[in-house]
Amino acid sequence: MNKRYFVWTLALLAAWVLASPGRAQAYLDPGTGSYLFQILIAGLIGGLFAVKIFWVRIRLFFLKLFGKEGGEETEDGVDDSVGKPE
Amino acid sequence: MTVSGNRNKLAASFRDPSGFLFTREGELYRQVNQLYREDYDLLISSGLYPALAGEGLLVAHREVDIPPEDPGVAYKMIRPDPIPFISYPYEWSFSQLKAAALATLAIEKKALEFGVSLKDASAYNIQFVGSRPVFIDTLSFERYREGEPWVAYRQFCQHFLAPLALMSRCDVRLGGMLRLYIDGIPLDLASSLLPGKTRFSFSLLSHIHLHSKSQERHAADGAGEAKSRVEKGKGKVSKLAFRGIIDSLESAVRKMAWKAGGTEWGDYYGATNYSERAREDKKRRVGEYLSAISPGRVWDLGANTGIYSRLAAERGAYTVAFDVDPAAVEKNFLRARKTKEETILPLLCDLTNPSPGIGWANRERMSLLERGPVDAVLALALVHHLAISNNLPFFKIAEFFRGAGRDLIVEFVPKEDSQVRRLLATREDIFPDYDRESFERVFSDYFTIERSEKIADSERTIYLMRGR
Repeated sequence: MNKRYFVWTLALLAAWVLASPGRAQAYLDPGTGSYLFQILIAGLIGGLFAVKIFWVRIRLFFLKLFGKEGGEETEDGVDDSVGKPE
Repeated sequence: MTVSGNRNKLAASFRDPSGFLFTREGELYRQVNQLYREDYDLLISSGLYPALAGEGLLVAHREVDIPPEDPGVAYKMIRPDPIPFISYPYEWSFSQLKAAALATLAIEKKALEFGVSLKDASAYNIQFVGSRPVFIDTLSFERYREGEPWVAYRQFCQHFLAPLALMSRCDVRLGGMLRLYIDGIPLDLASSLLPGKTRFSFSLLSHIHLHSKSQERHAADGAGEAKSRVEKGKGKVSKLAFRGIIDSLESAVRKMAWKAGGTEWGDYYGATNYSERAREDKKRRVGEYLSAISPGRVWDLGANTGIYSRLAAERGAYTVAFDVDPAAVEKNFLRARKTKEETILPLLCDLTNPSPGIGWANRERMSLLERGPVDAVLALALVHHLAISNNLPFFKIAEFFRGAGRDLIVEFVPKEDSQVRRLLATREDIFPDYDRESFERVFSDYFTIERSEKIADSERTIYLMRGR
């Protein structure tokens, strides 16, 4: 994925954290912060997701071209599938 | 099951104005309230319900024509398929919590395809049927509104992401914190406990560390301000970004890993003094006893990785396999998952301190014993640990077993056995009554001893007892 984009993001997020005030009483209402945080990261995560979809499509295109099945594998080899067995 | 006051409403569902669970003549029902009418109709008419129930991701239900429990607000009455045993996130091993998290996200992704979204992402909404996670709250769905963030995001992070991160990055036993924090682990706490290097993981940095900062920062704002910002169009979460957030959570969960092994009991079967012959003889006896009583529901206490639990499950009993060791429960679950077993449920349980009733008035989540009794209890190679390591007198152990189930298959391991000698090696022997005669005498107050056999090639005895 685009490395420079990623580094910039981290820098921006770090700057935002440094600029934020100290500990407040989050237990009073943690909901508002969660709500606004999603709005804050929406652009970035949406962008990364768009890039990901794009790459997946390209990968699938080439896999098809070379006649391979695009099987997903998990990192720990554990079956992560959900739902009823086929 | 827990009921509140003189009503039949279940204490676990009193918070939700959309409807509630109740029992009538031993059957479990859910009342759908008028308030939830639009969303319930959408769930059914959009085609989402058959899609999810067909895959086994959402509990199936049927609409029933019975008098409402609370007629003033009732819209429909439904009867969900029963779940054989209710378990809680603090009783799950690492991979069980991970499977529950992935099931929740799979449901949210599927729901979005139908223009619907989850309004809750509580781990308590997932139950296991054997090794398969099932979402049980039919009233958690609402119409997806373009532009709005995911209302269940905070809950997902607290109930799933934070405990999984703590279990995989700090210590697997931190999953037990879910018992202390019923609405999931507070993100500021997770953030302060997680090692500094987790800040270099994009998903943990954003969904836990920065998310927690944002909560602190906006704690005093009030929800009104957040809503007004969205309404004014100052902040919107596009559908692409919304899907991106779900995808980011999913890849964060998929990346989490924990390898079971190297713990107290991890290699117990290898380290015991059992010969191959003794092991086979014990398996044969347990199988015989189980066939003699053919129980429908079994609790295997101290099940380890579930070798004997499977003897019960193979005979058609829904078997809950409890063990205190997270590695044993993990291995048991992974094995059950591999073979898609639906009649064996491995769970974490410290028998010297089993799950209490927790939540409001101690009634939202049931204690272990409230979820029994079952038809039969298996207690194999367990009594010596309770009696000698935990100083429990025989009558206390017998009383507990009798409270947990009707019949009992129990193994007695005498002092001559090398395992007991090991337990006594570093402590004074203050157990003059620890012998077979006393064991049988005391247990006979609670059970009738129907059969007993010495296990070949060992000092041990196995018993089939029927509850008095």
